Amino acid sequence: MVDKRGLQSERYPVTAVVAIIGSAIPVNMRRYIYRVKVQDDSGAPNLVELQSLLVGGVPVVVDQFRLAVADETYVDPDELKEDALPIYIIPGSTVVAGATVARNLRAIGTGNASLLLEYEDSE
Amino acid sequence: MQTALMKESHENLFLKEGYLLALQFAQGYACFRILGWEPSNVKPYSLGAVAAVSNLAAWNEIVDAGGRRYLMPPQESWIYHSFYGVNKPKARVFFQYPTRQDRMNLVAVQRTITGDVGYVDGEMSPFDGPFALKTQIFAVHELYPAFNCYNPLNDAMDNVMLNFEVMRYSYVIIKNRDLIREILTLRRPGRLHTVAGIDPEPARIPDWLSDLVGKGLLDYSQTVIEEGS
Repeated sequence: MVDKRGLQSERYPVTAVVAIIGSAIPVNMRRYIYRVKVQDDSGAPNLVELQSLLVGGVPVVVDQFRLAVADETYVDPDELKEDALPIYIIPGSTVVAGATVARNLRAIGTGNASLLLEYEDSE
Repeated sequence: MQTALMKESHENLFLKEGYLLALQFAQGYACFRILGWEPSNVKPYSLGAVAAVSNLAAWNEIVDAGGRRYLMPPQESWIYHSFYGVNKPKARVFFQYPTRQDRMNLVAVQRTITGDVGYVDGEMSPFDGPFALKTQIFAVHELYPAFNCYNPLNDAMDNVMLNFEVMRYSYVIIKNRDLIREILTLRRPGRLHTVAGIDPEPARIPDWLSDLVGKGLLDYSQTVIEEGS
């Protein structure tokens, strides 16, 4: 269940160059994403991709958002219910040989876009 | 992520008129009979912003704008009994009682305020309650705790808040040795509580209370506890 006191709302700019968005997911925790909003800022159809990447590893595509019309906005869910379950669960950073290896979220579009995530980092 | 289910509401742990209370200090037990009670609260009490993966620079004695401590009775005639909840859920609140004495250690090395041991977070003791038993504090005049907070997340916490629910008691000190023995050997229903903890020892009894109780009764209570009836 979503805990409103732990929920974070962050908006990230997305470009045609893949980039880290937000903070690294803490060790021993996972990032629970409850709501996503994607908005095209390019004025053209756009394909926005959300990825996760453990440093030194291979990026994992979490989801893709196809905005078929310029300036389209995609929101899921429309309304966050009190008993909502996370729509994405991203594993946390890890520890290898005593050193922390960070896991981050990344995003890329075919053009500029805005990405808003509502999430909570928790065990 | 989920609110912990408490076995019992902290409200059921407050004492009522006539209840017997035995507070264990380093020198022995002081026994009281509760005469009256009055509830109050401090909500929200702001510890302020806590940067990502950081703790507060200073310990907070939970004071008002004038530096007066909310959790310490301002007069010798009262005992304060309090619990607290934490916001945010992941804010780790560390505790010293009395001040400069770390509590809730688990390992032999000194507890740190950036570690994984000895804290209360908002999932253990939710801001709106019910508060966890481990947040229970009994305070008498001249004895008060201090708090710090660690943010284990990689996102800053804009404002960590505590929600204190405080019950203020008036009391009389019990000096009848037979009654003290019955309380400490659990023959009479009463609340026995170790003030602050056991590692390295309970809080030392303030001088004013030690004088009122008397060294003889403190020693007597130790004898009763160690030797039973």
